[in-house]
Amino acid sequence: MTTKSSEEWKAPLTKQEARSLLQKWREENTRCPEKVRDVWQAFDLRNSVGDEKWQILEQVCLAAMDLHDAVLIKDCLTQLDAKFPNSSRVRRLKVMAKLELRERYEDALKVYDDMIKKDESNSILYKRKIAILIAQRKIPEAIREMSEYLKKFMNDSEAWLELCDLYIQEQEYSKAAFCMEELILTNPHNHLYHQKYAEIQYTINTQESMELARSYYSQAVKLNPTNMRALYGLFLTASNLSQQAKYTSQKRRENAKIASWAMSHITKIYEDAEAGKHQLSALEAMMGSLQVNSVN
Amino acid sequence: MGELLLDPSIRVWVFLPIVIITFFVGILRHYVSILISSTKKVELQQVEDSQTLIRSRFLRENGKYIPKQSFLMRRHYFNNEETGYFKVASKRPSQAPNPITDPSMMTDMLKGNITNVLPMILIGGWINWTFSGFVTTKVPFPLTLRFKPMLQRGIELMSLDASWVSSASWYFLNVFGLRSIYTLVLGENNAADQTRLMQDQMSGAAMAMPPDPKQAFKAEWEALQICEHHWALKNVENDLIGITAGHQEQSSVASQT
Amino acid sequence: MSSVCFCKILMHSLKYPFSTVCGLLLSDKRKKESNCVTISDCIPLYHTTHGLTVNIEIALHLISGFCKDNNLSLVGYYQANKHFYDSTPDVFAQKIADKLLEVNGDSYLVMVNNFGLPSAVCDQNNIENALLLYQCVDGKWKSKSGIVYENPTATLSCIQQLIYQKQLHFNLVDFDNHLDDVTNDWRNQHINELINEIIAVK
Repeated sequence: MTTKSSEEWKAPLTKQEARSLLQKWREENTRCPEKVRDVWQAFDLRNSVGDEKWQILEQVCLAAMDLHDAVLIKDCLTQLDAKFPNSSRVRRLKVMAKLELRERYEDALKVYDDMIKKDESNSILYKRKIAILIAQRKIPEAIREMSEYLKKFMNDSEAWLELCDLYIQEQEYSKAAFCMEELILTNPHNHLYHQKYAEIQYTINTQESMELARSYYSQAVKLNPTNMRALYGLFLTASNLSQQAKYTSQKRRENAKIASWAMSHITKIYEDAEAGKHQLSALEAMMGSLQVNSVN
Repeated sequence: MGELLLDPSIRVWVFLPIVIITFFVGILRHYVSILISSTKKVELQQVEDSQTLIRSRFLRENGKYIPKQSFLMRRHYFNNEETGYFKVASKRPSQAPNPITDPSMMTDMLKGNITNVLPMILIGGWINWTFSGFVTTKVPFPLTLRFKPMLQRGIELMSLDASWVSSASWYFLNVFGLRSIYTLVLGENNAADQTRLMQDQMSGAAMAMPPDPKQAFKAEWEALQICEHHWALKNVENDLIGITAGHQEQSSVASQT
Repeated sequence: MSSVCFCKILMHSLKYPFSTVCGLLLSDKRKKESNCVTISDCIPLYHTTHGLTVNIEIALHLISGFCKDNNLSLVGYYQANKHFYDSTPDVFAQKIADKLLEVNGDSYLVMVNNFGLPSAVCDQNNIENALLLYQCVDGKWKSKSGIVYENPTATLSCIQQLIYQKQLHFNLVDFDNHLDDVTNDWRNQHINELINEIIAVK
């Protein structure tokens, strides 16, 4: 187990590594504001990174907002403002720092509306508006706004994913499923989309959706054989279906077979990882409890 | 043919000046293009159209991964007779952009010309005129005769070995070869793009639209109409188990179903 | 409530401050007393998939097996909402707690009070602001007071040390981390040991 405190993981980094680390977080949208700030303050990246500097500054600025670090926000913003006095992107940052952070949401909305009028096709602005609605906990409004947004920008997969989560919060699972379908369409080779779709179908919990869940879990496992969530999910759905009273005995047997296949794979992964005895015994207990059910 | 010796002044007054001139012109051009480039405003309608087309293409290509019901629902959204997106969209008055009436398009074209084509012609012509007729350098390996027109532009000498390079050709070699030096000097991804991105966020998928969206919509409508749905996940469980359980198992399962 | 449990709940919610996190509360069967329940430990569950049943089911199956082996019982559920001003249990939290109630006959729902947390961590007199306790009364979840913290002074200084100085909460493993990589151990024994060490010194 790696038990590192913040000083320890930073120490062996070189400047170049620190820079690529920031870039990686930026590209993957990883939200780790403390680390971003640490890296920024530990390395004087100001003069060494050329034009990447501005992106890093934006990143640090966002991290600082997460941490409510007013000094750092101000520092970033003055630099960015000096370089790009007319940029809408910097303006957005300023609105975030000055209005949203102080919870003056109505004012922020007004500014964003103005900005949208000037630049209709700027998707970030729409997203900020939706984010404000979520922050105000106006979930139904946020959903409505998001659907409007998605009518215009149909291929924004991040937005579809967010809408999906909003629907889940509102327990509108079939609508959430629709959003996931959309994501599967954009990238059918991403096992996480299949897995999440299956999770939603499982939660809907009717016979058809259970079958769908089984199929999509299988697809997720097929795309990534080590996806633990999908393996467990497959096991649960299949063992659930194997007790389905409406089924013929043959269909039940098939499902039981799938369940035991999934279980054997899960066990194998634990064994390969040498993950302690207690994990395996917990696993056995789980299998036992479900098997007992299937005997009844 | 005896060994050809070049006067050292050719090196000082022809070879090096060409390198330096092309290099600085490149840098200059880079900054001029930053200076006069304007960020193109994308129209909302245009974004919507292009995104719809992409989504419909995804539906055609990857529709087999979602359940049939969902596929049909989406196709209905695009294609139904009264309110389908493509039907409605293709009834919209066409607005083929006309370069004469749209001044922003004209200036964009002009700017492109100014920064790219014009310097090429001007500097190229000037170099050709000032430094014509010099043999500047020699590539350190033998070449066949076919390379003569490429490497010895401006010198029509049959007897000259093909590995000698003329001044005009040296200029062109520089123009194309200095690109990696620029990335080194101006920063990766050629700073101009980065800075412009920072200046104003592009809306991501502002794809190049065909001049007339109507045509594209009609084509997409047809393609989607004939697209059939075969669910790709029909037998996925059996496939999955079949991978490890071996061929026999798989065939027995198949015969059962 | 034991220091270990309290520390771990805070660590979990501070590791993922921007998402809704949840977990299970465990109590030692051997230490059972008549009118109060000692919550001895907790198991952090998820921070990504809030509102979907599958993962909770997986975790419940696995953890109830673990509990049986170690003479523990599942006594409750805790949740920290991602929204700063919202510290009321949502539908999902109530459902899970209902389920636990059904199985165990006794269940507590603990919400992390986002708003009160800062003052609670700074001052031990305010420590009861940190968590909100809900109990089921006639089928409805009602807010109750009465969480007694074990050794508040030591607990708070332990939190100061582990989270604010060493930032060790990034090393806490929840069930999501476990499913990403099965070598991550959701029992968090190393953190338990650390907490106990610090408390013992105090």
